[in-house]
Amino acid sequence: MYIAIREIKKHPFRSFLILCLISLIAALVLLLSGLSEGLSKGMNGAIINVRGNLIVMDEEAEGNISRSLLPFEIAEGLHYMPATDEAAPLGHRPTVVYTSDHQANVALFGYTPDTIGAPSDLNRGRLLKEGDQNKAVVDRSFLETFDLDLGDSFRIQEQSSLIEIVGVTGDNRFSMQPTMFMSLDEWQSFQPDDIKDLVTMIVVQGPRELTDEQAKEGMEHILLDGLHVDTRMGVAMGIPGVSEMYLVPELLKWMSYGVVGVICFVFFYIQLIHRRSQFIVLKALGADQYDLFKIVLSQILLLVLGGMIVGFSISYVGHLMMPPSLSVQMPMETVLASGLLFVLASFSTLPLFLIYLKNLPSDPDRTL
Amino acid sequence: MSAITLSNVSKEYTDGLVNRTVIKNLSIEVSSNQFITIHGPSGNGKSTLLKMISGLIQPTSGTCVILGANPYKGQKGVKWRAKNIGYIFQNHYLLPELTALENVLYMGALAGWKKKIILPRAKQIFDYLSISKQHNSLPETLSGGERQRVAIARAIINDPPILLADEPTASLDRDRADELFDLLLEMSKKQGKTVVMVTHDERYRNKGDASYLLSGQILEKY
Ligand SMILES: Nc1ncnc2c1ncn2[C@@H]1O[C@H](COP(=O)(O)OP(=O)(O)OP(=O)(O)O)[C@@H](O)[C@H]1O
Ligand SMILES: [Mg+2]
Repeated sequence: MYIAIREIKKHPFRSFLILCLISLIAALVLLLSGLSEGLSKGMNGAIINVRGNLIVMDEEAEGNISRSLLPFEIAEGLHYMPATDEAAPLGHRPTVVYTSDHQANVALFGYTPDTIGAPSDLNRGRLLKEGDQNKAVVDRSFLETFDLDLGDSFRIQEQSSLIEIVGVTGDNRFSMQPTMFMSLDEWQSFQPDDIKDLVTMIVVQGPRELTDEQAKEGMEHILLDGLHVDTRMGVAMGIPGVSEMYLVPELLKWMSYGVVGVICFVFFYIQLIHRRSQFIVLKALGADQYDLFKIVLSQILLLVLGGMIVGFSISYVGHLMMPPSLSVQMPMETVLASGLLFVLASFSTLPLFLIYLKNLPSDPDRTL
Repeated sequence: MSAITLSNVSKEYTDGLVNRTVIKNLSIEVSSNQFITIHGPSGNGKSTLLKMISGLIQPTSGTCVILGANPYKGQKGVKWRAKNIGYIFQNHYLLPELTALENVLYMGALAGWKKKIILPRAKQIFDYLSISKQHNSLPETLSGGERQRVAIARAIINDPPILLADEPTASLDRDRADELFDLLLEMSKKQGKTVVMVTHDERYRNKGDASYLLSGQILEKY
């Protein structure tokens, strides 16, 4: 280790440059990860956070939630089927929310209290109860958008009475719009007369011992014609625009991992050639390739970990200062996963160095 | 018991397209505790011989048996050389970014010694070689003689049974050179090391147990 530290001290400028470069890429990687995380949640958080693992929709809607309409009773039918544990209807409609200072489009979902139609990530307050009137559970972005808090009230375009916020969930945006949940009864009362008995989709929990895919296959066989079942993830990714919005930062993120791998390789390879004669001397003294590798490794470790910590800190602090509309989110899992992948990417080419070191001659008079 | 046994060893170097034989059918046996000197004109393969003994290079033909093992094979994986051979190179080859003491400690680490154990020993050796004042200096700030001593300290830190010294007195004045020669001789006699010393200096001929002349591919005893 002290050879590595000496080497870094001996070439402070060079080490500083590589540290900057690694920091920048690390910052970029985390930012892109946060962006794809935020975008995907912003597009389909409401779907990802339903309690069931499957969603049944109208086949003709072709995966487009805003076009799906199904008879309410199907939920009941599915609920008692042996291939399902539970089923509950869920309604969706776009609406406009007004407060004294703000007005914006919102995704309004209706669910029957105490069923798996309820959102799974309540953070504060409570979920809806049987008989609730003019009460709503809203998601975090709703509060941010309208500058409201738990217990505050607002209006929607469909009715004149005030609606009170009784619960707050995590980020459950739908197509980048804030989300509110009301009881299915109230939701139905907003629907046009001719489709009052129809809901948008049915949330189903398949048998818990099966994987989502297995449960989906099991259901496909017994489902009535005209109905379509997909996993929660499948529906979420099928929301128009989701994959596009999600893929670009995702692609850039993976490319940055590639870039950091290449940069580490080039930098440390040049470094290695530079120190070739030193390594040959060490070999002559009795060091094997693993001893030499340890020297290289500790140097890479110092620079990559150092750069990553700096870069991640910059990105993390930066994201805390960004407005929520930028859709960058960095939950701990994202930070840890990005960190792990970053280290793996930077170290991915190291085995090549081991081969180089192994084939180094050990006669120090022949270093050129 | 013989520490070093070379039988019919030849070494050819390939210089571009030409093959050049530097050493031909050389055989020598050095028993443990022996101190021998090797003399000979420049470019006649003295360093080559030491490198074959230590396993840095492989003979083109013939066999080297050092402490019962093939030193060249030994270089793979096992830290054979770090433990068994103390090599004082013709150019000291100290690591420039490490201090004198660190150069020596690193050699101990290569042989698997814990710093706790090796540090007092290193200090003792620095005292013995009268270079304690220089232990925190980088090699570039040391004089030629001091560097040579650090190289010796590094060669003996792991207490190897065999010491190979390639013209260790070349950069020293007469008195310093004699001191160093006496030191190596003492290590052979008091600590039972096998020492092979290559030198141009005729004064040391037959001062040890035996002296050889390496000239024209052949090794002869004086
Ligand atoms: N790796 C090599 N490839 C080609 N030729 C080499 C190689 N190593 C040494 N030689 C040649 O072999 C000959 C012997 O070299 P060596 O270093 O063993 O001589 P030496 O007796 O130690 O000389 P000196 O007294 O100057 O140190 C020299 O002519 C040298 O040029
Ligand atoms: Mg020589």
